[in-house]
Amino acid sequence: NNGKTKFGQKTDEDVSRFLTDFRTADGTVVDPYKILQVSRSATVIEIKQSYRRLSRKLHPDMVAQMEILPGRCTNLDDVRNEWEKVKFSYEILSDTQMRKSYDRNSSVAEVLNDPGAAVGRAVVGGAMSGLGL
Amino acid sequence: MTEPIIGIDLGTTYSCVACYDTKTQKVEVIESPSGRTMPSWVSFTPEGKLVGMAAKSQVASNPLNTVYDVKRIIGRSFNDPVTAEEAKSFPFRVVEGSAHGEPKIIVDWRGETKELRPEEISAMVLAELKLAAERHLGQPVKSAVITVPAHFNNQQRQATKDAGRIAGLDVKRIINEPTAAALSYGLHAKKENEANGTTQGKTNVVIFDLGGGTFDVSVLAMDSGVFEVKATGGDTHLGGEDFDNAIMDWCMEHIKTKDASVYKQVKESARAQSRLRRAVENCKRVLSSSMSAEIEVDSLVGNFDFVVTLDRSKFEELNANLFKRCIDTVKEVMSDAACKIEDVSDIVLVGGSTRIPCLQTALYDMFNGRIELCKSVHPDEAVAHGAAVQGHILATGGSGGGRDLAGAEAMTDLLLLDVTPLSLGIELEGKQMSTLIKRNTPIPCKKTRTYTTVDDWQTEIDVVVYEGERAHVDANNKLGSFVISGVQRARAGEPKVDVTFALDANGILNVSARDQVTNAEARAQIKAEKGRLTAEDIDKMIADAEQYRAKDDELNEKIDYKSALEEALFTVQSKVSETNKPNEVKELADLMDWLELDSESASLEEMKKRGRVIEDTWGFIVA
Repeated sequence: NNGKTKFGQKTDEDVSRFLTDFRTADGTVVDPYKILQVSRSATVIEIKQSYRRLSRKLHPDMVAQMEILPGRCTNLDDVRNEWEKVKFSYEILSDTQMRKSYDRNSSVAEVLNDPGAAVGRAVVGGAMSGLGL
Repeated sequence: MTEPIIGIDLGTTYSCVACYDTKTQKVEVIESPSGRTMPSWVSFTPEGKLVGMAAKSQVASNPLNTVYDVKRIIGRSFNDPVTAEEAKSFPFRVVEGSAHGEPKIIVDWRGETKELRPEEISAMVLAELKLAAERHLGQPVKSAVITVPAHFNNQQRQATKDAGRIAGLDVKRIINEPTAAALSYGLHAKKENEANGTTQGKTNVVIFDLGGGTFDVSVLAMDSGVFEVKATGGDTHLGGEDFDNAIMDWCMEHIKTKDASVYKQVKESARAQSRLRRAVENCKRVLSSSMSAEIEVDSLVGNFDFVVTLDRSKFEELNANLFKRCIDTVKEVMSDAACKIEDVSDIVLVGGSTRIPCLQTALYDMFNGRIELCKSVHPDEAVAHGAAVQGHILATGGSGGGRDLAGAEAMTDLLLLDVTPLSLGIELEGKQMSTLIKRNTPIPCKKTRTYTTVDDWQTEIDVVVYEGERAHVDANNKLGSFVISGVQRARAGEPKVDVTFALDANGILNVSARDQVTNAEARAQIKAEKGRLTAEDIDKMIADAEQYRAKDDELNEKIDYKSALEEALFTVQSKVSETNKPNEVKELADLMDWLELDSESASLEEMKKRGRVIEDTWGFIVA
């Protein structure tokens, strides 16, 4: 059955597709500005510095032998997930194209999340919870 | 006290071990009986095995059972074209393993014909280095950081990790060689800056690592102790030995034009080949400091003495295309890292082959002569040194264990952000590669994407995992496959299956697939398609290695003792020729005869008996 049972490309039909590129492995959409603790107008240098500062705090190697883990992490897997969010946010914001696309699509998603647009809300709900909106 | 984690540079031609020494509070390269670097060679004899310099120096007399360069085939299947190519040039035999199609090396060992996997050979090298570290530290060593070329793929990393396990080491981390070198360089630069009272600014560094068998280039950004790898690339099959091969071919041509029958004999004699190769390697080294050098082998075959002079310009001409490949790779990696020539603040040279003047000039020119090439790190030791730094970071990371070192080497301030060298993805219908993790993504890294079916009512999907940069999967390297069944029964394109790739800090991949509706799940740690070692295989190999360890120790001791005995006899000889006492002359002659004729098969005890005779008769201590 080789060649017959391979995967097909999947395009999301609902509006959450706008944010597909900004989902972490567990499916939540990140807000890279919030995670990197920078403003929407942050410069490339500010973003880099924040990434490195947070990496020092959250990289699994830096906490491996620590007795008290940073933030709300209870185990090393949590730490790894937290750091991956930081890294992913940095990937988004350090790439000019990705950053533009995030800025545009996150505002589209916000508009669609308007209380009047009930249908929009139902499908976007999952994505929005990740944005903390 | 924390358990030490040693750093090992497991090289194609040479290996090196370093560790953090709590007494001196410094990372130190450990001397093994072979010196600060040890040839990655293992030789099998009727009595046991020899590792390192001892193996390399007796290759001419035992070419078929002396194994080297296994790093070139580790983690590859027998059918891999690279394995076939290598097998042709190895004097020892490589065959296809019966079980999984992995390459196996055939040697005569203790009077038996043995089939060994490349992992086992590497494990013997690692065990030797582990032993040296234990002797130096005066305590058992259980864990290590081992380096691999940045361009090593998943299987090659897995195989290296397995080799560590067979050697009795818990491999805490596999790191890339250029990254390790950068850690070593960074630490050095940091100390220098502190000494000058300047603070380390942001720097972009190019690491150019050309060793005996592999070539790596990495671009790193260093910012106050955070080492971020921007891009990495290279060639798993380019190094000093390729330069040797080019010279070898040239020599063989030379012989051919002189005497066709000699040419044929040399071609067929493993012993002649290995002798010539050693002369060639020496010549290449000399050419890094002189303008010309001689390649000279007396009685190469029969009465044929081979002598030829090679000058530097001819050497450069023979290898011009290889040098060009090196420079082209630097350009590619720079462009991957989005780093411009003028952004680079330092070029660090690592690996023995970076001593070649022509390459240094080419690099210097490439950067418009703007920056001096950094030679402050030791080209042969930087990788092991850096691996030990990473080992120390892992052993103490965040525990504050390093804080007391503030005055010496505050390594716990350092953080290494390494990347994956190759893109990883799955095959879509139509042999298309769908990339989940792009190359040069920092690790660890987890990515999920949603896929669907291509047929109506299809409930099973093949998950086929590939690594590589090409759009067509056939041009990439297949890592493995598994099947997810129980997918939602629906029209083509309806089901949603999440595929998750989780790449750990060692660059080793786990893949899982889950249907969003039925929650059916399948997962696999991606292992080599063929020839991966099972847990049982490894356990058996560990047991084998243990069993022979005691005997090998005795063999090593015997060889050491034999050379001490020889030396003592030569010293005694000059003494005896002065005094010329008849009984002593006879005693000495007997001993000399015994050493020459009977010592080969003698036990250590028998040798020691002779040693005591020397001690009693001439008061000369043999040790």
